[in-house]
Amino acid sequence: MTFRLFVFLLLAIPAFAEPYAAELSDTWRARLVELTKPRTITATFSESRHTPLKRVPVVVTGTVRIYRERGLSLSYDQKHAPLIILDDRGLLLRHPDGREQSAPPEAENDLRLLHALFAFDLVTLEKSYALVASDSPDGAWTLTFTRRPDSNAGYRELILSGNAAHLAAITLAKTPNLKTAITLASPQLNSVFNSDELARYFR
Amino acid sequence: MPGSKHYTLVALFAFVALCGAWLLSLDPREHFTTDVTELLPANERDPEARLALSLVHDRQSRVVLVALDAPAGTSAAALASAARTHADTLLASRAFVTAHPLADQTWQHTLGRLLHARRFDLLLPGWLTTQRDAYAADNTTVPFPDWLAARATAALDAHLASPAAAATTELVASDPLLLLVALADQSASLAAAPAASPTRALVWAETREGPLTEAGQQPVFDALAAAETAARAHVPELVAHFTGVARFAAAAKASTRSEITRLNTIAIACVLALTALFLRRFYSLLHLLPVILIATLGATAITTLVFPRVHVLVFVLGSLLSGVAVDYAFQLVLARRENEPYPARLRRLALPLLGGAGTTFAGFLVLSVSELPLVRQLGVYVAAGIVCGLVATVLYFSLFPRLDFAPRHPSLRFALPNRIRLPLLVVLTALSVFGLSRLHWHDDLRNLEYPSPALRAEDAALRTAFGQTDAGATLLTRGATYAEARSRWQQLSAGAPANAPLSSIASLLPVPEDYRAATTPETRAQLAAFLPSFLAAAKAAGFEAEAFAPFQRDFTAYLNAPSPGYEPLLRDTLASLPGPLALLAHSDEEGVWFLSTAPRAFAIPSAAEGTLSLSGIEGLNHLFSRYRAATARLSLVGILALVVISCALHGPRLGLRTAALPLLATGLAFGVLALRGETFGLFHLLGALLGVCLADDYAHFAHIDDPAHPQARTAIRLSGLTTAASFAVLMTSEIPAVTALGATVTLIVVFALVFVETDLFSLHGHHA
Repeated sequence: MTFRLFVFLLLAIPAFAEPYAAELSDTWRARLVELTKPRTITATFSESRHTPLKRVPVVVTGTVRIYRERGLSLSYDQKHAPLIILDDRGLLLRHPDGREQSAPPEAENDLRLLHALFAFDLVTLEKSYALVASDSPDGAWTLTFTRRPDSNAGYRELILSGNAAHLAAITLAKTPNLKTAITLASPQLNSVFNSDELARYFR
Repeated sequence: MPGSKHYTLVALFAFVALCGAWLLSLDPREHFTTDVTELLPANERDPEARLALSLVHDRQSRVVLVALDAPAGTSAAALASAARTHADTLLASRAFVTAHPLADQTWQHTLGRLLHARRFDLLLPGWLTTQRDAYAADNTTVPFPDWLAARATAALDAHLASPAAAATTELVASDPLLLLVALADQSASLAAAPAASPTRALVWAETREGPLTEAGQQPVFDALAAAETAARAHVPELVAHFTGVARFAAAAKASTRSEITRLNTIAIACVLALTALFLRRFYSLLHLLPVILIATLGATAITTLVFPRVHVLVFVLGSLLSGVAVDYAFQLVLARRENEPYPARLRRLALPLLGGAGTTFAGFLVLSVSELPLVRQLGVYVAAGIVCGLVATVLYFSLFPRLDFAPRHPSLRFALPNRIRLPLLVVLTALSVFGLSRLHWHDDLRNLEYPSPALRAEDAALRTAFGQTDAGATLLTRGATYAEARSRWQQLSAGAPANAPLSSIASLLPVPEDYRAATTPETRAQLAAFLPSFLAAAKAAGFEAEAFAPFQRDFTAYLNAPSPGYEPLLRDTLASLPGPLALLAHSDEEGVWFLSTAPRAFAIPSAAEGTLSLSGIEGLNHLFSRYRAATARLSLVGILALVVISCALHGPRLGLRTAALPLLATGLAFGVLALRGETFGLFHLLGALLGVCLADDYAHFAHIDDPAHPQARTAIRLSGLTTAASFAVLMTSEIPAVTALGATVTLIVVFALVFVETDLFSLHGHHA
């Protein structure tokens, strides 16, 4: 009896320990492994900001750089726009004149969750968000994270969508009419950042 | 007992009773102080010193910073509860008036709400001035309200396209003019919260009483201990660290107390050992106690009669100085001769005693006109102690005319041959002049501090945790009114580099001229016309019709309400500032000031009036230099009095030789110290003044030296060696000022003793 219990626990604990154990199939887990494989990603993006203030979203463009060990940076095409760096230390705005601004402490929780989203840190996300994963035969897929009722996360919904092993779009929604949708294009995987780029785009 | 002794005894008892009764009638808290700021004149004319003193008495000095450290793995909720309980316990005590756990950010939210509610009064005037300047530069024919509406809409569109817009979308509905958004960029450092840590919670608190008072120390520490205990209910392994002026003040007090005990114990041991070498009847020394008691009692009573409030440091320094009075007892008792009646002995010794006491009295009395309360009080205390000590010595020992300390008289004589005295004097004078020419003066207030590096390190670590760095300069801008202070700050701010603007609460407040312009009837009418133009322009630019309903409501209310007036607006706003921000501005009957921080290299523009740089305690060093210079001038007057009295008592030739001994001893002591690289300050000067008086005593006592009666020489040796030993002990002090005093007096006394022993000035035997 003791031996059977031991075997049960040995098999069951890893299963319970996996994040979103019930929501993600083995195929999904394999896809996530593929998604996290590239050490670096560089892509152009188009960001649509939906606000209740305007009838049409405000659209801005730029380049996103992801470096697994150092985080993510967004450089906008607009003049004088600051570079945005999101990493495990939080969010940093780096202005063209050299000034740096950190996000206020009250944003810390949301920034931690956003960092977890970009890093596919499902263990962190699972504490605040429920997950629905869907895919279609043509390879398109969507991961929809919906805020749990007891969570104090600011974003109500986080959506990742893509095709095969590529991430194509990210949606961050606080309310249905207050949301940001980011579309990625022309991704370059495993490109090498030189020391100047690392210093400029990351911290 | 003869009748005259009765009278003497009655006189001594009556004096002790009178002085004792007077002192007992005083309220110690009212008449004695340990507050270091009272060492400086209350009406100090130096503006920086006045401001620094007002800051010490102000709320800034009552701030206590507390860090609560929890072991790794402590839950955030438990640590937050511990911080809340800690702050609540402090608030529940009588010792604290404010306590905020910084993590809850209540005060930042309060500031945000305050600024939002008054955004049109505080921020619209400056915004309008900027827009008017742009309108004038645009040289357009479009009416101002319409032009302004189009410009505001374009700015709003640009903002929504900026990366920072994500954080302000909800605010923009009530602030489409971006008044608060622009402010957030300028003044982010004002409401900055310290970096969060999973194992550390921070509590900012303010005590009820000032840190230099008793009520501002032990009750505060007790409340902090109680709060730590209460917080451990949530995190049992919690450890609290705190810093504040009260901690330094208490530590300095405790250290000084222990150092005084240590120094006095060693000094007494040295004095007893030396005395045992010279006196066979060691226990006879007990006769010195009544004299010391009467001199101290008289000096204290007279000083408290003259000054309504006396600093305890005067008694600490004065107790050393009044030791001079003991020398008279040595001279009077040790110089006794067999079968010589007491009155005859008194007559024989009258001139040296009066000479020694008179010059010391005059020297210290001159100090009583100093502008520095410490020096003034010290002058009166020592002068009174000298007179009381001399009179008490003469009267007390008249009760014991046959008292004999049974001195040992070592037959050592070191008198130099006459022919080498003058050449040696010339060489020594040249040496002292050379040394004096290398004197380097620098006054540093930190010399008065008991060094506490561990406390300083902990203070620096805690201040860093609270986000307070020492990287910038602190500026203080004053004005008679809010309008004047704010205008002056504007002049100052205009000189700051664009990439490093000044950080000040003044940046949240309108410039008086802008406020006036924004509240005229014409401007009100233009703003009333602007509102519909803006809503129309926004709609045309794709904004929802109802998007700015909160703005429309608040702006209409602002236009319909009367202007609150500039002075009431600023007074009410600053009085409502929450948490640490409340310390960045101050107003009282003397005026208003704002604190600013600037890059260290920032130089105050010459056009900026009313701003001072507060460079901490170092900034007051120039003040001590001024006091030192004034004390030096008074000392010169004192020395002149010493020479005049000496000449009056002994005639010009002997008088000048007598006065020359202490002066050469002092010059040589300064020269030696200068040659070994010592930097001189106020306490060297005070030491020199004391040394001159002591050395002058020995010069006068040398007059009664006679090889046939070696008692006088023994008295001088005993006085000199015990004094030198006592002051040499001070050189081991941790407090640089005390070390300086000890080194100066020791060297002067040693040189004086050598001069007397060698009879370098040919003084011996003139009144033998």
